[in-house]
Amino acid sequence: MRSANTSDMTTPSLWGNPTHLSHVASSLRGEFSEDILQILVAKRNSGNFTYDGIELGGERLTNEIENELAELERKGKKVKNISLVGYSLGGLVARYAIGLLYSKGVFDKLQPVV
Amino acid sequence: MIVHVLHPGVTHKLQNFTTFASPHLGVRTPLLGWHNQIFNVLGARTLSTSGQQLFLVDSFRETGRPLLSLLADPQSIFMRGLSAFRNRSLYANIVGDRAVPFYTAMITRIDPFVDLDAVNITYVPGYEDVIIDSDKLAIPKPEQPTTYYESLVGGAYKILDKAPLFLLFTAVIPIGSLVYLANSGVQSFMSAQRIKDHEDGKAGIDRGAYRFPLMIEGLRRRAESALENINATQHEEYLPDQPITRSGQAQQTEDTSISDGYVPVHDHSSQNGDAKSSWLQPPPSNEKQMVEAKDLPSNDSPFPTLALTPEQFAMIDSLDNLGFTKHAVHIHKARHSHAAIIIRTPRDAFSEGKIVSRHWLERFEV
Repeated sequence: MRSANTSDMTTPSLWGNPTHLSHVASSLRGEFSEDILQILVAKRNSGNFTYDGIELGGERLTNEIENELAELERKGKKVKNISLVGYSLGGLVARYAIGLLYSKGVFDKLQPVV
Repeated sequence: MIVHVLHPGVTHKLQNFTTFASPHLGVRTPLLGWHNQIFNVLGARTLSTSGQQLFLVDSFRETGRPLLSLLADPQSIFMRGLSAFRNRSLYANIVGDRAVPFYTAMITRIDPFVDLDAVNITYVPGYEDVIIDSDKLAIPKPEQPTTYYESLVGGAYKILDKAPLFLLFTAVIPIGSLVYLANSGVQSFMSAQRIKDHEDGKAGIDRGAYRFPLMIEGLRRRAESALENINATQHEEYLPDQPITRSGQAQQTEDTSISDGYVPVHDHSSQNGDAKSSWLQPPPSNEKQMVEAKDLPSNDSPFPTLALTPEQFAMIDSLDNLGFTKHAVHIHKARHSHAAIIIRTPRDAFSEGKIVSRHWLERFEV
């Protein structure tokens, strides 16, 4: 049984796409191996969709994170904690998603080591 | 090399929250009076949902408040969720970020970097000359008496510096956009004609009906880019009745009619102690109120307070109460620091972004 932390990342500003965060992702990966850190670069808020507003963006991101957590659980990886990184508009989308995830109790399911 | 002390027994489910050049306070240029109405209010209302939210002219669901204001409301699920993070940090470009100005990425009411020549900047050792010391930020240089000749020449240089951009925005972009639109129109028409000709004899379908919405979409995007570009060229204004300093260059405005329908700074509307309170708060009263610098918490810095809206001031207080570790970033090599700060595309001019990510990673706790 392995403990894994997850770091999620959000997509950037208007007309952003996930490739904009490649440096951020690769620099993280350079520091932390996959045993320690799972990285998710959010994909669903690219291009046109960034025009749809922070609310929709936040909902999409929330969905993406929930799916990722479910997937990790399915693979038997225990997620200790989560970090979130946002670039430009993505930072606001992340803040919205944090609110949703918090209110849905998603964060309660995390298992930090006591 | 990351040096962290892990505390056994600390159970943090939410570790790090970091933003890079994120417009926490929206993207409106701090303006007063009719300037504000045109660029920040009227123009902004024509934008997409995101655009309106970024200009704080949207109205989120039934709250009647802009979404960004809600995101910073201490009672909201957003702030409560954010407060659960162990580390909250942000990185803000001090110059060169056309999309996200310093004050909004840094969550601050001042802009010490409007004139770099007028300040001394201290950098964090090991991260020169990119990461700025958060404690010192910028210190105004002592005022040098200038001769009339020097100020004349200096002024001329400033105009010349801005000339290419000025030409770009007043000539190239409007003309370019017109040409683009005209061409788009012509191409669409010609294409429709070709198809129509080809299908002569068969039942004619009015393809214009399908193309029209797409053209509108294209037009709207052009308008949005144009507005964002124009907005980026506006100079920040400050609240009136503040001492003018050389570094701050406070622009006193004659226009005293600042009542743009903003809500009061300190909203004392009833705090409904609803145990099951949703993230919605009762909308504050619609009293129009002027904001004067003296009514705000005292600005201890030598720099004047920007002409932000009462909502923005409230957001600053709320977010600062929550606490962010803030880092100002000075990108020299690239004109577009917004892309450089995270090395959005691999480019030599963006190399300073590596210093930023190194700084960030060394504080990233797993």
